[in-house]
Amino acid sequence: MTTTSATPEWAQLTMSPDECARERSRFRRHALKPIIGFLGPFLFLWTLFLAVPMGWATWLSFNEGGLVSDAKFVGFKNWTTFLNNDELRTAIKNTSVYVVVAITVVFGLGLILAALLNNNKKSQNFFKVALYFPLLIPPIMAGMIFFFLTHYDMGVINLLLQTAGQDRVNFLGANPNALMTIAGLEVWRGLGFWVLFYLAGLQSVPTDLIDAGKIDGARNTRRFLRISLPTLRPLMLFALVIALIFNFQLFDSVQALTKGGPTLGTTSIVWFIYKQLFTFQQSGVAYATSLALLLLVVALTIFAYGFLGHRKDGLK
Amino acid sequence: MLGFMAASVMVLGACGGTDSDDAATDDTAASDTGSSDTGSSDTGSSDKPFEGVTLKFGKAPHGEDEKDNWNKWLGEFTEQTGIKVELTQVPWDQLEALYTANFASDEPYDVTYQTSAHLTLFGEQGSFEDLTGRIAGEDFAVDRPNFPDGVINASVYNGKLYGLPFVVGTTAMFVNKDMFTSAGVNIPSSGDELIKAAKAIMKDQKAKGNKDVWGFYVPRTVADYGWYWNLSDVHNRNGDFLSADGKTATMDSDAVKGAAQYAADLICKEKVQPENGLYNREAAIELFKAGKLAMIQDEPSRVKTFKDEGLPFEWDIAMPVGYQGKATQFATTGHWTISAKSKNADAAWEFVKWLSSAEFNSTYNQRYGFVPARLDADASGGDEMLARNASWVAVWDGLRTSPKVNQLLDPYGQALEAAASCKTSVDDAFAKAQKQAAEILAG
Repeated sequence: MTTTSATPEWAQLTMSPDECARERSRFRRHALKPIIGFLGPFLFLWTLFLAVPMGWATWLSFNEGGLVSDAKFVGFKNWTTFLNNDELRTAIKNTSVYVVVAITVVFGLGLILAALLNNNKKSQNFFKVALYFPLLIPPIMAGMIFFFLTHYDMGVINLLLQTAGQDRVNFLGANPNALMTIAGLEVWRGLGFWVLFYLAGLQSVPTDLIDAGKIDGARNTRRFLRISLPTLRPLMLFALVIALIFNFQLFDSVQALTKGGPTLGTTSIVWFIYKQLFTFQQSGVAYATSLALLLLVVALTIFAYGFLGHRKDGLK
Repeated sequence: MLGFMAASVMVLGACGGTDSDDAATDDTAASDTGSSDTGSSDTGSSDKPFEGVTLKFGKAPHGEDEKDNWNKWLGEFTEQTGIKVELTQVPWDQLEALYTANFASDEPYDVTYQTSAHLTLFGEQGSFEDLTGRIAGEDFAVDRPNFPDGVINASVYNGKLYGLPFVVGTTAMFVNKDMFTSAGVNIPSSGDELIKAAKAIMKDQKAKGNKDVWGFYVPRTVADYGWYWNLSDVHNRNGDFLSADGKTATMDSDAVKGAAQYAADLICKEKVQPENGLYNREAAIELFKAGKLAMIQDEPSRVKTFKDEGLPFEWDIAMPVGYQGKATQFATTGHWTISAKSKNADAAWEFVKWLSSAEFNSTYNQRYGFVPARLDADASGGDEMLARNASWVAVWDGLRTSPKVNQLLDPYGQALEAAASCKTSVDDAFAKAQKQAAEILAG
């Protein structure tokens, strides 16, 4: 006959409060290890390259100097200076026009080309590579290509126009041509990326929905507008946010092609920041403007989510 | 954002990185093929007291062949002194960004070349050593009298000399002599004569079937530093964009507006210069070389280039025309600076003395066509055109250095470009510039 203990087995597992605290702590340490292991490298880089510079930039926006010379606290002076700057107002206007034009054109063309490629499997790979290729070209090199394309005397476009009996166009030396030329350059560079992006989205549209549309007698255009496009809405929201962030940082093509001219016609917000920071050594004004640009992009991102993200009538 | 990127650069710079060195690695040329030991102590013998020292040297180029020339020149310097010099060519269009990052680091260039637009911009922030004491020293006593006081004084700010003047810039008017001969007109010496000559040449060329020929070109855009080419005419009219004490903006003065009106009239009224923005500076040089432009104002460094290339027509240089015949020369001054953080400041001074010597000044300027800052250097090397260019220094009236000069020249350049675009009146453009300049000076 087996003797059994009067105490149940589970009761033997009971720990004293001290033991319990020790065990909880040990468990937490154990659980934290992989979290730290996975997040640590990212957090280290994020802190070094984003959090610390952002914190420093915020501090320097309330100072004069701080880069080459010692920082001198000036309160809100830099913020009032840049808010009253005429050139910055022009830069905000130019950048906004550019963002609207570039995003509208690149998204429109991107969607159309993606839809065409989606229906044309045969030569899809060739066009994917051909469209993506401009993005691989360094921005300054792309600027040079556009310079020679749009040159008044030697540019390919003007030579073609002359051959066709048309007047030459001053692409980079007159307004608003210069800003539109820069938008054209950025559309050309970014188009391939957005075509591939939307193509991936179109290829993920459930085929049963498309088939159901066909059975109901919907034609290609109607199926695209009523089935494919609503399905792409979450993707478009992401695309819009990314495009806003990137396009508000317009700089490379301005530097390569126009240096902000003619008559400030292509001065962008980041070009303004660059001039303040390096050409004029007004680092406080530059940092204050940088932070304001960050806040502007965050506000636009929230607006974009509000505009597209909260719509319930689309397919999810 | 750019500001945060710059902050990141500064974080790395503070850790001892020399970011601009990395950025321009491909353009770096060392004067010696041996190992680089920047910062090594001065352990040389008495005739070569700095033997073994390596200096970092930053300079924006005046010509495409400059890097090759520096390899040769720096080799000679190393042979003479035992000091090795590592050259980094700093591109003009990235100069301010690269120098900002470099001067913020712990190991900036020991010696740099700075124009008067940047000398005090960085100097007043503590980047450069004040050379006042060094040029008064015994080891410079023989050289000092060769530097005119007027040239030195233009580079002094608040009693400090942040760089030793090396070259005094000039500009020249390049003329297509064949076109002048064909039209039967003389090379102009005043603004009115220039308009008449340009119109006569355009008419003559048109009659010969050359429709696309222009009379004159000088840059008027911000991108091509329009102010640089226009300020001589302001000086010709006895004015400037700043008061003599540098405390008051005078951008709405008669002299400034008169010079801008003349510049705008050449394009908008007289139509002897192409529409602003149609051709940038380099494109206009190509026009001149192609025989489609009668006169172009540019830097004399083009003299040797044009001679080497062999233009297919007779050409010459002339003094840029002046208001009512009064002609002054305007340009920035080029200086050699020593970093305030240099660990080898004495060796750097040795290098600056060598760079400023009559011998090197002659060699450099016989190639690049600038006027030497010292009187005993020969910039012509027997070249009659360059000799004539050097003689124009007698009427030189250059840019006074000031830490805010870059900021002030921006609204000036913007106003000039706006007026030359034919869409804004000179009065409106420069009233706005005056307001902006007053705010800059008040800030």
